[in-house]
Amino acid sequence: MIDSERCIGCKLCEVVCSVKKERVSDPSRSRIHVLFWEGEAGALPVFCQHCEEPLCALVCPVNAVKREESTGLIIPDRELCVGCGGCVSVCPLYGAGFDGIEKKALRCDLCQGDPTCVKYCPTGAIRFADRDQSQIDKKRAAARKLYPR
Amino acid sequence: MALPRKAAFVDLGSGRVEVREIPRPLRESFLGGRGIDMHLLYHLTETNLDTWDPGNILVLGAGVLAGTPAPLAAGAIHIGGRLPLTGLAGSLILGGFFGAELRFAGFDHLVIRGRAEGPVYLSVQDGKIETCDAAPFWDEDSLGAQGVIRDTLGEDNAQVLSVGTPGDGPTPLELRADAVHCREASELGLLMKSKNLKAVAVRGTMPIEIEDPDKALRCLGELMVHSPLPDAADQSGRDIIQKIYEDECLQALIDSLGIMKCSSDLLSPEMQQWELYGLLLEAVTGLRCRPSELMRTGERIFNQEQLFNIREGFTGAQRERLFKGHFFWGELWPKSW
Repeated sequence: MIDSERCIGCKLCEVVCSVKKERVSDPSRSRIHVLFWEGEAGALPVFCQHCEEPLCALVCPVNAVKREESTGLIIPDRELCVGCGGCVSVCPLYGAGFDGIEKKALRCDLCQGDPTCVKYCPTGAIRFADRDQSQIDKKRAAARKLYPR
Repeated sequence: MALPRKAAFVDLGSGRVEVREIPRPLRESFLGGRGIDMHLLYHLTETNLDTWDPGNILVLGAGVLAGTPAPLAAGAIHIGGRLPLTGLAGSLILGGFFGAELRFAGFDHLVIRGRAEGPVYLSVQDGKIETCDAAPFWDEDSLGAQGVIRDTLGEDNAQVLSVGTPGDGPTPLELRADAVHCREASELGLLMKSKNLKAVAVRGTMPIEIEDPDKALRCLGELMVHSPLPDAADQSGRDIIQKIYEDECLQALIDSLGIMKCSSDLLSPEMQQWELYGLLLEAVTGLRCRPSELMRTGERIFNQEQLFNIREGFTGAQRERLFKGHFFWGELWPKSW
């Protein structure tokens, strides 16, 4: 769950993600990316939202993008992936990543339920929440703006 | 092995680029960023050079923790050079992501010497350095030039360090790392312009190796949990001069690590954080560094800057009073390149 108003665009999440997953600091291969417009307020971290009807799975020519049965997450099969980049282009939420060195698709796997980016976010802009719960939380936050205390 | 990494020596006059590994003893003594920049400035600047001589160098240096799991991803860049009007050692830190991007492009330090024949800018991309024509936007301001360079390179993610354009008369010049990070730097700006250099653009997608990734993440986690703000009352009894000296040394250290300036509030020799930074440094780079040694490194870097000023004829009584510690560490970087 992202609170874009809190994000200061420091990009620490990109660094810790790549260190955790790739064992080197390489933001180009991180699973999370911070979209940041210089000189404008606010920044937006983007990552895979594990959609219910994933477009990336639809366009994958080799059916490498599948939902893991045990976790319900959308994870591309590295063995099958041919590195066409179709999933990156089609993702409406800019959440699909690409490993430019091994030429394979990358997805956030939520670090087995303990996301590294959440742990290190200095402003608490990234939070880990159940999707059903976060929906009502977002409604509450939006309503609070209309009806301040 | 996380270290050594590379420094590039660029001669704008001949267009020659030489890339060298940064020797480990230099790392151990001066870390990176402001530390190594000042060492290079001291040893590569010939004495008694004319103010506008092309032999004067401009050094850009990323901190040794830049682009690694350090608080707020450490992206600051240090700019050093002999100030043309006063002859002093110029030292400027600009925030933003330039330092981190420079490391992702494969270099920790850029040493720029000579004068280009016409207006140019340097383009650094994944280990390659090119000199490109800057004539079309030489008169643009620093922000405008950044936009033009990004469009020319087709790289929206490129980080650009650019210099402003002075208007009529003695107007100040600025150096700019991005839309937010911009500092008044007339003399460093003039030095940069005297080389016919409008900007340096960097874009990198190369990984930075980490000596012990798990330990680095653990240390970072602890650093972010412990964030005790200093109690002002604790420091009120100190000798003010000693405090200034310590702050200067600490700042030199922070600049060499490449971490955020606001970390200075959280970093002091009395605090646990200090020890954690030593551990983080070891985890990221493999450099063994005890907390006491870190403070000595800060002293060494600050003293090297003061040595430069003294050699150039500046011997203020106050400066000398601040000055302590050893005077000579020898030459850790070969003079000819």
